[in-house]
Amino acid sequence: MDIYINNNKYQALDDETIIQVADRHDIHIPRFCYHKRLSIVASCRMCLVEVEGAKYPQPACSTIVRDGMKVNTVGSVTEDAQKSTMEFLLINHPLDCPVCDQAGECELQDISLDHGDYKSNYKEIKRTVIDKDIGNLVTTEMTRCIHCSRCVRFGEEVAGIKELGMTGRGEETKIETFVNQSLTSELSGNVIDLCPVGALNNNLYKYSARTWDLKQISSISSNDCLGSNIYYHTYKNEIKRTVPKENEQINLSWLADSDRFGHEGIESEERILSPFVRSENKLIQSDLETLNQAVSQKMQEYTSSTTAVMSAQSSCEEMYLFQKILRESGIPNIDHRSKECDFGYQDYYPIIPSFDIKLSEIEFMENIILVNVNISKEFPILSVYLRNAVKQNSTNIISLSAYEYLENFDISHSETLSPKELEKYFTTTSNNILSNINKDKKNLIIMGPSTTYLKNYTNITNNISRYAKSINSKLSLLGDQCNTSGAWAMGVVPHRLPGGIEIAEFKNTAYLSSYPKNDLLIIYNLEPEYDFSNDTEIIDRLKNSKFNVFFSSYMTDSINKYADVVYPLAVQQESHGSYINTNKQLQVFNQVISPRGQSKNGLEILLGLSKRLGINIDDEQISKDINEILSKMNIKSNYILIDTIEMTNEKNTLEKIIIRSSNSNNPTLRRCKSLLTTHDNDDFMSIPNSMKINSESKITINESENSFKIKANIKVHDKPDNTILVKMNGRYAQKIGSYNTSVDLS
Amino acid sequence: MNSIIKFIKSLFFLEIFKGLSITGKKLYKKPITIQYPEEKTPQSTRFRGLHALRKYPNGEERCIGCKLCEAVCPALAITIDTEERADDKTRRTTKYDIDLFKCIYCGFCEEACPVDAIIETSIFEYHFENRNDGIMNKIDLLKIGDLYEQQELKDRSANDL
Repeated sequence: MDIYINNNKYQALDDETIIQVADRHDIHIPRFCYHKRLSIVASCRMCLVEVEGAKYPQPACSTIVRDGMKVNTVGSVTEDAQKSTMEFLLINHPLDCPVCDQAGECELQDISLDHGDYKSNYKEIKRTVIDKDIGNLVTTEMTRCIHCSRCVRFGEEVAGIKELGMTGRGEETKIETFVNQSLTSELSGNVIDLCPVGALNNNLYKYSARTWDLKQISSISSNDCLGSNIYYHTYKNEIKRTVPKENEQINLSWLADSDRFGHEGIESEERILSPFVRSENKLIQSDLETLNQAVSQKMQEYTSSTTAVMSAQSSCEEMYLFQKILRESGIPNIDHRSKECDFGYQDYYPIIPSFDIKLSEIEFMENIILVNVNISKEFPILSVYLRNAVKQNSTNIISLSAYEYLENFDISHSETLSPKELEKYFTTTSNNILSNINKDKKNLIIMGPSTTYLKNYTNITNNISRYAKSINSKLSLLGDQCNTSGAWAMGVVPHRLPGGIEIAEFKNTAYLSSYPKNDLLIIYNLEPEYDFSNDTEIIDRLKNSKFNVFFSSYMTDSINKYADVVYPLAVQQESHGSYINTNKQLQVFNQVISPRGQSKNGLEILLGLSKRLGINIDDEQISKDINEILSKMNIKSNYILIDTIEMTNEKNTLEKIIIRSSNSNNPTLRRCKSLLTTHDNDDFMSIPNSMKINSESKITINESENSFKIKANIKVHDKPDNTILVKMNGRYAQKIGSYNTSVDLS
Repeated sequence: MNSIIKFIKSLFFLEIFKGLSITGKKLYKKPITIQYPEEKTPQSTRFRGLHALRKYPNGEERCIGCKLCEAVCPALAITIDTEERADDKTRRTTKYDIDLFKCIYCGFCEEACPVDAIIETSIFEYHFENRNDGIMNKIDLLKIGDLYEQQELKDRSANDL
């Protein structure tokens, strides 16, 4: 159908509104309440336009186009309507732009300049509203609110948790949370972007810079495997805030809170700002040349008893070079799976673990089974897609997890299962909910990263794969870190070279399995206290090894105690590189700020070390090699089908399971205080109801040799039996021992 | 004929007397030069001299750190850092520097200021003995503001027609 806007002919679709047609053709119509990803309320009246034939101006956001409709976005009728609306909006809006952080990017300011009048007929006093305390992330300045209700609709429609609401009528209208509650949604930061005025502000950015001073640099999120596209806004070489970069395939217009507020840790006091070397039991400052010399010498000395563990948060370039340096020096024992403890599956694992379908296809799935994952906490952006699927196509979602997770979308069936029960759940499907799933429908199984932490992961993944194959389901493996897919592709596993080429002699080896004891340990961007499946074991190994090399951005107790050499690693925002996200896309990110102190981009450090070892490679060669590896890679499905497996025996021992805390999943996030106090402060331990332990009593967990006293909020649960669940904020909690183990309580 | 007139004029030094008559006249008139620094010329109330930061009568600094002066300054002479003040949660400057070597005394900062905090006072006599002294910091500016507040109020009322 054709419509005329300002006497020009434009193509329009059925059921489109005027503003959608205008936006598509870059015709400016001012608006406040309309947002392309939210429902239409037509409450602000700013988008009134003249429609020929209509008696009054019509709101462009809610008026459906008709064939031959004639719309005027300029002209006296429209402009008069805009001027009057603007005057009404400014009756109660304070004119304190110099104080307001939104000034310079404020929609009200811009529209007032373009479409408002220079004078107002209103002479009386303005309304004031008391500010609300809604948490550490979003600050409020409620007097500035113009009641566009975008934040309210966002909560209802996208985030799925109705946290902000509108109360009162007329001049008494207020935006508030339910009785002094703070925002808990992992997507809560998006209301800052949505707010057209300065009523909802970013607390980290507050009063630290002005919008016109900021420099915008695009980057990729380093906090989850979806690889959200983001813009960092910097001022004087400091990251001031993070905003989403629109990407229709990944994060739409949204950003998870861990991405938005995850830059606070960079300025932590624990940053390692210069190279350190141990001398007389103390770490002293040194230079990279000395470090390289010491490390290369030790690498040649202890070739056969070296273990190297690398974080999957590293870029593909770092990973490729890291494994190349070690393999060319004759060290095969390289791994990134520091949080895992069962490696039996590894020879059958896909070359790149991935999501298997595009995120936009989630909407069309009919059955989705979530295994051990709390989507709305761990992958907030993914929850938007799942929520959409439930809303649009009433997708049937089943959640099978060790803990009763709260999700922001409707789950049709949920079951709490211990790892052993989970293993059996997929083999004995005839007597559970899975028997109802039709193999002719579009099915999807999403396995969460915390499944990989389990002691019987091999069996679970095999059973799930077999079941998935039987119902023709896609299998999605979500990575624990932002570049887990890249780590597999770049060969940061002992049994595979870059590109997934198997090395036969290293079947069934994992980073800790080959040697009872190491002489040289190389730990790259991992913190022994928090990043290993068994922190006591790794610390024991550090104690007993002859030489420990750390590449780290932050100092921790164990690094301070056991490191012989510490390379100062720049954080992701200070370096450049690329990540492979869960959809197998290679995304490149740029350097945003210059590295703090003498810290250096990991790639630069590794290039220095490789030079010392006589390996001839440079920046260009690495990216060439990576592109070649990726282009040659033959990617099959994610099914992990293992021929012979042993079922886990059925002893009724008590198992401890750590609940994954996604907001303290990498070293930088662990140091973001505002984020952790808002989203990751629910430390608790949950014990089976049947154990009848007085929840007031102090609880000691006895693991094989160690015992841990845990002081936490103690809960009880009915299911799963014989399992205690521990959720600890990874940064500030006391030691919690290994991730998954048999324990005793006393 | 012309040469005869020229001869007569030069014979009687007519041009010299004409010139000396002006000298003679001025000799008895009031001189227009003044004895600076003992004497000074009158100054406009709108004179744009050395900068100052003003305070409210209750002692609170006016500047809210909006950075409009920094943005408008054509010579990039102003540098401001801000943060949220702990007690009343308002934006305040932690640094307010004016580089007087860069400043061209255009008065745009004064015009841009929404709270009349930065002003250009009537001070025009100042010097530096070190290059570093040419950069005025917040403390200096507030001190000048205190000293010249009364003068500023007088100048302002004179400007209000």
